Amino acid sequence: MTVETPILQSQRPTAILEAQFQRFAERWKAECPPVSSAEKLAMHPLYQRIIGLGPDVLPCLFRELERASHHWFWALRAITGENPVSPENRGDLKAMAADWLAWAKVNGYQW
Amino acid sequence: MGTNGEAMSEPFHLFSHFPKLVAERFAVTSPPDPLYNCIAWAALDAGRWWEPGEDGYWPEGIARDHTLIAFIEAYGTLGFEIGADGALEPGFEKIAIYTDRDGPQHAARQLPDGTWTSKLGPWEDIAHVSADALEGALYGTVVRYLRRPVSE
Repeated sequence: MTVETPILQSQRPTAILEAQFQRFAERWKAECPPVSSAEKLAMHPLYQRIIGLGPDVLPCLFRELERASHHWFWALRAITGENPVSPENRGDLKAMAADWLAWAKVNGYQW
Repeated sequence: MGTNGEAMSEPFHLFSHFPKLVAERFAVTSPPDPLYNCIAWAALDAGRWWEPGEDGYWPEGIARDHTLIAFIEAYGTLGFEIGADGALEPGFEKIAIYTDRDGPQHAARQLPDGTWTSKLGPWEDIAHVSADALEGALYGTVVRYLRRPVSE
């Protein structure tokens, strides 16, 4: 599985992009409603702004996933068009994160 | 749970989403945790996020539909069947399913003393006296109670 922007994969995000991601991510965690639908969590405007940062934000998402599992999978699918999560791992956020981090390494991302 | 509705921390952030809690005895019983949700917590699974969507665990063989029947069938894999109400029945444990016009939004599990425990999405677990304390715009209303015999 590959994505269409291999040149960007090894580039580290700029400090400005990282700061934007952190600001949006922290606010999203604080403001997302207490709902049990990952899709509803992803529909929050701040989550959508993270998706809007595009492929350059992927290293930030991988670093965040490595630090602490959260519901970043909707964003990862939206940005990459991929879904490397094994069917048996659905719902197990730590295992889902591991699947995504393995995919990221295979595809040359650094974070 | 405290006798006057006191909680582990001041839970003012809950009141805007759950206005009925203002007049309810309840307690925050865990820190926030995005790894599991209410549907899982009602099923006694604090290690997975249960939902029929792409990112959730869902029991094998049950339709990944966001419908009441799919949720009843999902809990049916654990031995739950449709019950009459949320009254405490010795020998049974119960789950309350909340729905709105978009389908199931929440599930709560009855504790042995007749109170209820709920995981609030990625937020905290709370214990609350009545199942209807969480009814409102976010979760809708309780439309089904399920029950199963308590395992020995």
